[in-house]
Amino acid sequence: MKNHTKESYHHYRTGDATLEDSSTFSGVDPKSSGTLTGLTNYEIPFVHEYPQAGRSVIRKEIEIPPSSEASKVVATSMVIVEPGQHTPEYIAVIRRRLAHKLIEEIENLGKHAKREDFDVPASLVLQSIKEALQKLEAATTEGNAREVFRQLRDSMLDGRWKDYKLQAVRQVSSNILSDMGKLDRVDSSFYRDSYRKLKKAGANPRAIIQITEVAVDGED
Amino acid sequence: MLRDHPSLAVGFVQLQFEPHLAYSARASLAGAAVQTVLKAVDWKLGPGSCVIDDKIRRSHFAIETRRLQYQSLGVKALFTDIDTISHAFESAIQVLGLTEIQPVRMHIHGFFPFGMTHPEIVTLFLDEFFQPASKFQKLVGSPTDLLCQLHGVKNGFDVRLTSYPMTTDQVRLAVNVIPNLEHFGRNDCFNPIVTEFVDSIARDCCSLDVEAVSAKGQTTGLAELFRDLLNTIESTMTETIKLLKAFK
Repeated sequence: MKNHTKESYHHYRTGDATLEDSSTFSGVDPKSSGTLTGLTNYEIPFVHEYPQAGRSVIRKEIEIPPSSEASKVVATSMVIVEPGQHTPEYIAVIRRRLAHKLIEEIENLGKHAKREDFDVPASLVLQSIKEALQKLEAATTEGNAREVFRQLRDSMLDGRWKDYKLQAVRQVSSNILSDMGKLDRVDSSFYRDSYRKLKKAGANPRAIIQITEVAVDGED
Repeated sequence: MLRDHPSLAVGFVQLQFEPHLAYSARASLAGAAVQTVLKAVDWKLGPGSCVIDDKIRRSHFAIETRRLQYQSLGVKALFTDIDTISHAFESAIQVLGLTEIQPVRMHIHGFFPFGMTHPEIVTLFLDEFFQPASKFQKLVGSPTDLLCQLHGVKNGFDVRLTSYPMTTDQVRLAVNVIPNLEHFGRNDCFNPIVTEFVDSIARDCCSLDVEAVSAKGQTTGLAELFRDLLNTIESTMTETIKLLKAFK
C-alpha cells in the first residue's frame, strides 16, 4: 500500500488577511492528489502568526478526490506569536544595543589582524551580525537598519572577511554602527551612505548591488 | 530628560531643623514672608504651621515646626525659578531665626513614558541589569516587575536612585500615596490640578525616583545649592534613561 503525504504550509497574518478569508487559501492541490491510489495521508497545517494582538478566524477548504481507498486527514493548528512585533521604540533600543555590541566585537578584531587563522575571530563577528539580523527580522520599522547589517554581513562573506584586517575597514564599520546606535530611526539615506563609506574604506559590502532611491522594505 | 519633560515629575525640596516651640509662633510670619516672595495669594494656617499655595507654579510651600518644604506637581519651576524658590526658603529661615539646619534634601520622582509597553520596559531592565534574575523564572514564572535601587555619592551629594517599570494602573495608585496632594487647589476628590497631572503621567512608563542630599545644611547661598542638587538629579535621570534606551 502506498503512503502519500501532501503537506502545504499556509501562514496567516491577522494583520494582512481579512476575517473569514477562505478564497485565498486551499490546503492541497486537488490536481496532484487526484491520481493517488491506496491510503493517502493529508496533513493540513494551520499556522497562525500573530503580529499584533487580535482575533482571526481561519477557514480552509480542501477538496479530497474520490477514491476507493481510505483517506486520512490530519489537521494541525500552530500558533506563532512573533517576537518581533514590538513597539518601534523597543525595537530601536534592541537595534542600538546590538550595534554597540558589534562595535566592540569589530574593534576586537584588530587584536587578531596578524593571525593566520583570522577567519576564526571574523566568523564569530559574522555570526553576531547574522544573529542581529534575525533579531530584527520581523520589525517593520527597522528595514533600513537591517540593510546596514546586511551590508556588514556581505562585506565579510566569500572570503571578504580578510578586508577586516585593515584598520580603515574596522574603523568605518565601527563608525557606522556607532552612528546607528545613536538614532531613533534609521532612514534610507543612512544605508546608502554606509555603503559608500564601506566601499571607500576598501570593503566590498555586496558583490552586486543596486542602490536606487527606492527605500528597502517599504520604508522611507 | 527631566529638563525636556518637567511636567512628568513631582518635586520636593526639604530643609529640616531641630524643632522649637517658638517656631510655631513665627510660622505665620514666615508664611507671610514666603507669600510675598512667591507672589502667591492662597494660604492655610494650621496649629504651628502655615502652607502657601502657589497655583501658578503648581506648588506649595509649607512652614512647620521642624521643617520647610517646597513641593510641586511638575518641576519646571525648579528649572526656571530656582532663585525665587531659594529666596523664599531664605526668607523663612530668616523669620524663623534658624541658625542651624540639617542637610538639604531634594527629591524628584519622574514618570517617563518610553513609548513602550510595560512588558517591553521590563525586558529592557531584565536584559541590561537583571540577567541573573532570569533564573527565578524556574521558581515562579516570568518576571513582571523589577526594581533597581542604587545608592552612592555623586557631585558631593548623597544620591539614591530607584528605577522600575510601572503600568498605567500602578501609576494611578502610586500618585495616591504622594503626600500633601490635598494642598493643591481644592480639597476634594475632583481636584482639577491633581487630576490633570495624573492624567498626563498615567501610562506604561519608567519610574525614576532620585533623591539627592547635601553633605551639610546651610542657611545662605541656597540658590547655588539647589541648582547643584537639581543638576545632579537631572544628570542621574538622563544617564539612566540613556543607558536603558542604549543611547551612547
